[in-house]
Amino acid sequence: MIKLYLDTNVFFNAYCPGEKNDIADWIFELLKPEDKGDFMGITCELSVAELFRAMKKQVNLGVIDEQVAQTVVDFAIADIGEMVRERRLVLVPITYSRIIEARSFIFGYNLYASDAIYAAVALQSGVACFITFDSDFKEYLFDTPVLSANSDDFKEGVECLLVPPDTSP
Amino acid sequence: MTTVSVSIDEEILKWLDQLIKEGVIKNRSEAVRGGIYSFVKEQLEITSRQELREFLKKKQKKSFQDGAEAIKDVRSEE
Repeated sequence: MIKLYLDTNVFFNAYCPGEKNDIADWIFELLKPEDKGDFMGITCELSVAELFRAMKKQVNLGVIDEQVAQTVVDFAIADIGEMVRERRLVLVPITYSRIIEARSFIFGYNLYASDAIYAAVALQSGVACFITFDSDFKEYLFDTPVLSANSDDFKEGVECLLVPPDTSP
Repeated sequence: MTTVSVSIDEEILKWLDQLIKEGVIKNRSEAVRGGIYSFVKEQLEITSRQELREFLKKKQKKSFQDGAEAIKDVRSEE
């Protein structure tokens, strides 16, 4: 089973109308339970709170009313809960050991505290790649490739993960 | 997590336990949680991400931020 780390912006682009909906849907379609597919999603519990805050910001920016934002949040809680129940997505809790591991990302990559925690969660979860729409991420977080969902060859990059590495001498 | 007691008909429970035996559902708690998630979506009358986006298109007063921009804003609030 190949584990894909999903950054919070993947969820935002899946729930809110915009130009990136198709690619976000494609990512979610990939996720299947262990016995039924090749890919499983991994994300950090903190991402869910971040999504709530992003919806509140849409209210503050005058995009939607508070009540509409609450509907999105209700839906997201149920949708993410279902994905977890169906074992298509794992919500990883933040532990002290992950916070300690975040230190190397903060000093090594100058990441924000939350980004560093996500990187630590991804690394400790053994993901094959870190998927984000944020182009500011570097190409690698230590040995873990960062796949930009904005890039033209993104789908190809994910599909390449299915090809076993060449171990011939 | 809080533990609650719920009343369930014997026949439904037998059916549920059969699904657990077959590996469709992990345990009784998971079945109840799954039912609640489905119920929430039904109550919202939005059962898919596509439906949610259609609903939002009707309600939005201007364009949503792009996901990367929105989340970057949230993270820069730290």
